[in-house]
Parts: sequence; C-alpha cells; structure tokens
Amino acid sequence: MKKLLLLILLFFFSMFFFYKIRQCSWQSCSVRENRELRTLIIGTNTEYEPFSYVDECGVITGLDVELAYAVARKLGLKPQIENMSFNALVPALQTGRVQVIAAGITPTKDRARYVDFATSHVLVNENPLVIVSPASKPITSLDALAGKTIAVNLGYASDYAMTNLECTIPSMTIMRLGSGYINEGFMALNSGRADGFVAAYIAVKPLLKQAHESEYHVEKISQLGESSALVISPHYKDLTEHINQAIEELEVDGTLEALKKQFGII
Amino acid sequence: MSIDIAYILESMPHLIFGAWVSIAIAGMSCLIGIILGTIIGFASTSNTIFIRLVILLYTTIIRGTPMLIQILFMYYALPQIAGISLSAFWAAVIAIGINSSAYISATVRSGINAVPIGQKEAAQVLGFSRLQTIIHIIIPQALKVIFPSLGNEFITLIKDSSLASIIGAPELTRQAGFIMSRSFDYLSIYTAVAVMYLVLTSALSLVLFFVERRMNEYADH
Repeated sequence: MKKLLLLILLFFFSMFFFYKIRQCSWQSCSVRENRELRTLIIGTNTEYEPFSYVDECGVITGLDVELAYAVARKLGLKPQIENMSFNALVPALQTGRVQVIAAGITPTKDRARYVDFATSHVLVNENPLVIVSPASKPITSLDALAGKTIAVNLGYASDYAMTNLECTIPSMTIMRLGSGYINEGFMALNSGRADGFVAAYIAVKPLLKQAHESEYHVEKISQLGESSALVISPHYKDLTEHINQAIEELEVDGTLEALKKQFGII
Repeated sequence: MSIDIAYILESMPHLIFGAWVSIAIAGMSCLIGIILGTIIGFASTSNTIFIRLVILLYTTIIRGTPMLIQILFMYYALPQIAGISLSAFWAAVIAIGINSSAYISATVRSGINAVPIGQKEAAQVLGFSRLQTIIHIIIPQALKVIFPSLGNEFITLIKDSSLASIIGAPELTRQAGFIMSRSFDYLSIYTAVAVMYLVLTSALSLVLFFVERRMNEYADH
C-alpha cells in the first residue's frame, strides 16, 4: 500500500517537473527574444480556412499566415507561429505574449479601442456573405429570412451584419454559435436547430466541398461582406506603422495579389 | 494593458442578466440532482442485485464522462437520436442535473448509512412501513449529515453552469463571450466575470454557513 502511494506521488511529481521544465524553456525563450525583437510572434487559430489552417502535410498556412510571414521578412524579423484557441488568442495579444494575430479577423471600431489593426488586406467586396440553407428548404433572399432562425458564428462579420438587420427583418431569430469552429453552423443546420447559416463565402467554400454540395443552397448577399486585417498587440504599438508600410509594399510588388490567388480569394 | 472599469460598468447589465441565468441553471439542475440523487441513493441500498447493478452502470457512465460532452450530447445528439429538441437552457439544466444526481446519490447513500441501524429496526418494531421509515425516520436524520455536502454541490454547480455557454445558454460566461467578441477586451471582462462568480459562491457559502448553524442549534436542544 505504501509503495503504491509512493509510486502515485512520484508520478505526479514527475508530471509537475516535466510541465515546469517545458514551461520555463518556453517562457524564457519568448520573453528574451521579445525584448530584443528578433522574432515576430504570430498568433493564429487554424480553424478558418483559407485564412489560417493546417494543410495536408501538417503545416500551418493560409492567406493571413503567409502574409504575416511576408511582413516579418520585410521587417527583418524571424517569424514564430503560435497556434491556439480563439479565446486564448486575444488575451495573449492583450498581454503581449503574441505580437500579431493572423487569423482572418474583421476590424471594427469597438475592437480598435483595445487592439490595433493593420490596413485591411481583404476587403468587404472581395469576400461576400452567403446564406447557406438546406436544398430542400432554400432561402433565396435577405427578405426570406423573416421568421427564420439564422445561425452565425459569434463575433464574425456575419454576426455583425445580422445584428444590424435584426430590426429591419421581422421576427428573425439569430443563433450565435460560440465554439469558434465555422463548421458548427453546419451542425446547427443538420440538426434542424437553424433554418439558415450566414457566413463569409470564402470560409464556407472549403466546407461545402467536404460536405455534399448538392445538399445545400448557397445564396450570395452582394451588399454584405467580411473584411480582414492583421491585429497588433497594444504592447507593440510602434509595430503598426512598420507593418502597414510592409503591407503597402507587398501590395505594390504584387505579393499580396499572388497570395490571394494562391488561396482562392480572387 | 489595464483593466477598463468604465467598460466593465457599461457591460454590467448584460453580465448581471447572465449571473441570474447562471443561478437559475444551477438551482434547477441542483433540484433535479437532489430528487434524482435521493431516489438513486435509496435504490443503491436495495437488496436486489439487479437494481444495484443498474445504478452502478448509471453512476459509472455519468461520472466517467465529461460534463461538457454530456451537455453537447443533450443539445446536438438528442434531437437526431430521439427527436427531442430542447432549448439551450433546458438542455443544460437537464444535462447538469443528471450529472449532479450521480454525485448526490453517493452523498445520500453515505447519509443513509450514517443513520444507526437501530433506528430502522425500532421503526419496524413500531409498525412503520418501509416508505414511512424512509420519510419519518431516515431522511430527517440523514439530512443533517448530507446538508453540508449538498450545499457544496450547489456552489460547484454555479461554477459548472459556465459549461452551458458552449451551447449558447445566455448565462454569465456566455454573456461575457458575447461582450468580448464585440470589443476584444478580454482582460477586463474575464476579471469582472471571475469576481462575479466569486461573489456568488461566497454569498452562497455564507448563507449555507448560517443555515447549517441553525440546524445544529436545533439538534442540540
């Protein structure tokens, strides 16, 4: 009995030490390099193809990630990517643990009070919103949303757009999905909890390919769209100017356009 | 980065509404847990092996799976499997209540075992039926033993109710998530939410402390 107890204790101690060692090395490295600013720590959440995702080879890529890499190269910094859940990403940015977020985030006025945004690299007209609905009960216009339950991902451009429309479209119910996975919208559609799912077209395109495309009706809403920009930590405010300049240069030399083509944005 | 008090105050109405929903979820699921847990607790002292086996299976499954998965199952899988479509609030209440019942049943059983066997025998001699013995003799005495644990369970449920945010029940964590998605000020809102949970649980502990003291005073006379 005593031996068993000892063994269990030993196990927990070893776990603790293992954790401690890992934590220490990780912390010291990120803090030291941060001060000297040799690296650009890029936070991302790889759940938003084609802006940020893990490809077939297990490599983190996407329009925003590749743009952040290109920006880092322009600034002469070594890019270091940190993949974490969305709810950990913004606090990490606020505390300065990551310097830049590259995850297809929409800039808004409210958010700009607490974080800095670079110049938008995807514009509203490049990424229109769509209404996805079951092919058996298609929703073909914005007016047809009246009386329907509409799923959106919490905090995405579609959430903002539908919240603004809530007063003008009679008895539309908005179901805000909070898991941070875009495919939760399809779960809501399939379980019959929502009649429609509003999201950015570019983001649902890869999911539609995986699912049976013929099962869904996709209606573009041309007047609404989702823009995205890199987000910069308030601890590194001076980076904003440099990053904006780098993005401008990348736009002029055609790198940004090439990236957009590569990821199917244009 | 500092904590923005003005912004916290601005968001307070949403957070207070969320806190009420959290209390409602915790209260109702605790009620389900106590009722179901008491029945299971008494059934687990049954002499029939079959009943005891069924209960063992129930508690093993419920205690051996994460509450988060149970809530998701109740919300997304139940409509597809059984055709029962519950709202986010009720799905959370029932899932958390069922989860809690498995734990409460163990508490209830220990409470029953704490009542001396002589009490039960005396009741039998006096001609009490089995149900009468349970209601008039065992429950009043067992309650004194299990009350502190039940109070703790309620406090735990207040914190557990935050898991209901995953399916969109508008409780405190969910309301905070909504506010944070708008402003990206995670630090201020997370801090405010932590303080609110602390206030809720501390206030409850205090109430339970006084109730417990009253119960003991009554018992001493």
